[in-house]
Amino acid sequence: MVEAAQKIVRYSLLVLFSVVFAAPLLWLLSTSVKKQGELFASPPVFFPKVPRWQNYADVFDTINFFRLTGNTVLISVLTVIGILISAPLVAYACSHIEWKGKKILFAAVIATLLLPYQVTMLPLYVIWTRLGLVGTYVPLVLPAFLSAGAGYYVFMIRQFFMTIPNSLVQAARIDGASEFRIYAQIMLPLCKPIIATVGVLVFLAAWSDFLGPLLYLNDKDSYTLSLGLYAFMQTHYVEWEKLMAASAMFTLPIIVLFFFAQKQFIEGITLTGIKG
Amino acid sequence: MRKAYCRTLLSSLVIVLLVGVLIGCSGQAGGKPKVTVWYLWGGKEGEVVEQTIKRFNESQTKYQAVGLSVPDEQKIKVSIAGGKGPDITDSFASNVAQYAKEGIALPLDDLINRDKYDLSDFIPASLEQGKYEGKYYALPINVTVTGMFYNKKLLADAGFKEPPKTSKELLDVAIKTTKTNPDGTIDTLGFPDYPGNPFETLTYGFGGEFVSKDGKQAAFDSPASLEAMKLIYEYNKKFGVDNVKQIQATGKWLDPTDPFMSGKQAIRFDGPWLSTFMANNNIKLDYGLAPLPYLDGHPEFEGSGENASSIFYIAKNSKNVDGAWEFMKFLYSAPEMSKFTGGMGNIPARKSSMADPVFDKIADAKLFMKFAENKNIKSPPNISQMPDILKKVVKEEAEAVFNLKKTPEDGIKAMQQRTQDLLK
Amino acid sequence: MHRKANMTGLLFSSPFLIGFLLFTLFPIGASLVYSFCDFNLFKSLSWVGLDNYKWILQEKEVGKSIFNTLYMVVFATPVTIVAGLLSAQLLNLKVKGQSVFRTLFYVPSIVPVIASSLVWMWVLNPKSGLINSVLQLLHIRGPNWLLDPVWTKPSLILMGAWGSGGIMIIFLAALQDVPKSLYESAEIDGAGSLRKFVSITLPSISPIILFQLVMSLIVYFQYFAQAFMLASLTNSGADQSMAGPEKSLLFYSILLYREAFVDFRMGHASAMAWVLFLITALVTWFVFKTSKKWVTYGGE
Repeated sequence: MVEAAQKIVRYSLLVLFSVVFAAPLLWLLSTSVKKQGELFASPPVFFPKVPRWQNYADVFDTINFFRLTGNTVLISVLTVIGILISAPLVAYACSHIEWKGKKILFAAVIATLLLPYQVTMLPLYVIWTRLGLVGTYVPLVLPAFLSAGAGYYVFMIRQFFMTIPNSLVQAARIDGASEFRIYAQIMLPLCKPIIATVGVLVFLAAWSDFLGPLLYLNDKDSYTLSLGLYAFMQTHYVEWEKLMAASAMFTLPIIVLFFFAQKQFIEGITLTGIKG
Repeated sequence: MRKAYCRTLLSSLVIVLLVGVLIGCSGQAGGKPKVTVWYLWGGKEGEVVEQTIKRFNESQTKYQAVGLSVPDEQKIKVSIAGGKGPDITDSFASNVAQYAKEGIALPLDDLINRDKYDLSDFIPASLEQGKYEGKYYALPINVTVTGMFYNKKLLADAGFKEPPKTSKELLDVAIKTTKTNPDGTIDTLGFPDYPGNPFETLTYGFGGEFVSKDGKQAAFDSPASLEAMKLIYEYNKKFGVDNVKQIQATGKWLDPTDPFMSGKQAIRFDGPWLSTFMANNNIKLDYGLAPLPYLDGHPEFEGSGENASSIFYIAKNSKNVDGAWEFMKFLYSAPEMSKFTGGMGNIPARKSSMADPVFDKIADAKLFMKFAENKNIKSPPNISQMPDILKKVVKEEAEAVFNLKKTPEDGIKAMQQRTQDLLK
Repeated sequence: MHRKANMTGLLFSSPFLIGFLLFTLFPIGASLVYSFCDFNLFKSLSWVGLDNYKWILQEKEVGKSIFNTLYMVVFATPVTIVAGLLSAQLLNLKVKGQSVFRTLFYVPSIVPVIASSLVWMWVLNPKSGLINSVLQLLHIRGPNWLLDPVWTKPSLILMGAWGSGGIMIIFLAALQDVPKSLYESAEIDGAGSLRKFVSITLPSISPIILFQLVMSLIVYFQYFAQAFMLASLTNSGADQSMAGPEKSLLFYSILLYREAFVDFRMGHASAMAWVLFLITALVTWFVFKTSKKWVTYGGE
């Protein structure tokens, strides 16, 4: 009896929370198929009687959705590649290599984590301007290859590396394996879960990044989805319903991505056990 | 092994750089030098700009103009600052002084003198708005004046045959045409509180101004601004700030859901684009259009109002100044200006364009032209502090009064004081 | 042998070090210099000494933005952490279909800011929005949310709690790490759920709470995107002042952005960035200092 009651309480709590979390997204979907004016109806229309799927088709007339998606994917993928190449290297240098700079290096990583981005934002903007690279993807992508702004990810990977027994590394060293070989053939394969997790996190962050594209992109053809939608929002004659449809299309891919990466993703985080 | 790793890293860096650079340069159309034209307009109005650009490209063989709708003024400024901005773009007259001072806009005098460009056809008050410290930094494309639209049926229902003519009548009509629901919320808005706080329009309509003509004195201490604040205050006190704000959040400006167009707003202050929008979108509303009301007891202020033109300017760091100037001359030629402003339902800034038959067919154009010609229409002085005065002082204090956090008297006093400090 | 290790260490960290030099250290120095200069991208640097810092002390808007930012730091941080912890606790229950719930709880946090702001703008619409409509059914008149200066920040906190999935998932991982044996022995002692939560769960995950606390503090000190979006989106187009009703959404980072990129006073903005840097450093240091009293590190 008690157990059954407990079960009911647990489920109802979970369902209640799920409803709260899902409601705004359902509102997004329902609005995206409303016809013009229904959004302002009072009392509101929760579910439009006749869904207007045309809104989705209209998005393609208003913004170059494929182009924007392509740009966003390009930037996101390059960022992921950049961080996945550079971050594990540093993480390795501040976990399993016993060298002079180890502690300072780790402190530097933590420092970048705490540094407000505003401090570096202006000088970087000036530098990219002087280099004539504003308007290209270089300011958005190049830093990733040098782990700039990736303190959090380096930290996560480093914590994961720490859970791998040093004896494993030592044994390989005694066998005469080169350090890079140890890294590439022992460490990395063992760290797939965390690499996957970080990859997903980086992708999500790059996919939805707003300030970067806002500052550095200024040609409609090179806009990302975030910026494209923002520009779209600022015009007077745009219908909100279409904007909602566009937002839904913007959000859907990452929900799908998350759905497929979910197991790996949660596993990765669980295994890290970020310990301060 | 280590070498291989280095090579991968290096080559990926190179790839990233290449991709970035390629994308950065992908815009370089071959052949003719480009003139990039960015504009704040979007949608239907944006198409009007694109048509002008198309005609420019067909009219000559030297340059290729390329248009882009960038509805975010900040973005345009940041891009110009980053050296990747447009050659020529538009803005509002109130920004000219700041853009001139900051070095965003290029002085046009040399070009005007070189080509002996004739400015005499422009409406003098609008032309002045492009000037800063004796030099032209921009030219006006339109004359923007505000009129009072009123819903004839709503007024008639409340017993009014005529639109309000004075400040006193305005409040009376506004209160009597307002319809509330049983819970106190507003069903039909009587006061011109949509799309926003009407303080600026009311002040100018009542014959006042924010800053004296010479740009040296704050001018809020006139009966006009005080009366404007008082009306806003009293209406909100009577019907509740929350209720008024709720109405401000319903419907979208210049959209069929706009309260005026959906018959839920009795009086509306707006420009000629509202008439054009209703005509183009086949919105059947029995409305009238009258000049803004004047300050009660001051018939000499009849027909007062503010002229705030849209302007075009050439970016100081434009790489194709000659091309931009060619485009500007094309756009500002009388027939093109008629097509451009006519297409948007605006009033052109050239006298000869005003006479263009295009405007016979445009809803309310003739009426707005009459408003614009009134001798009481004022143009704010071009001072670089203007954006700060509008964006900070006026917005903040007028909002405080609107929200009943300050009395009209205190609000005005603060505006006067703070503006005076900025002008020092 | 040691020298070789040093070389390897240096080599492995070289991408990061180059990035650190180019994208962190150099800009930090440059922004320090800018903060003593009158400067924008159209003009060259001219030294003005402490003027920019004096401006920070005198400008009322800076005070307002600090107030707004602290409001978020003080209220939003605990709300998001509690929301994250509570949902993690629920997701850690042993029931069927947990993976579905996990996805549902987590998804809001990955919705791009631009889309979530847009959705919330309509969810919070005073007349036809989701929340006020539901309240209407209960005969409660909801507030004007994003239009009422009193309610704008609570609205943002609500959005923050809704998107707390990132925090939640890390808490979930931490909860799964708590040794089962601890709970079992507590049960033998007859401890209830609350007792177990307070005396076992909380101490066990306290390092993670510290980590989350620091990260959230930083996030809220730098609060930007949501507020930027909501303050500049109004029914009648863009609001250039980006401050929201009665400047209730004028956060420190928004003012900084505005000074830098709207009004082109890069000197002001750089000085503001440095002040933020110092405040963040101070607060973080303070949190770490006091954390020794409540964080327990497992005996591993």
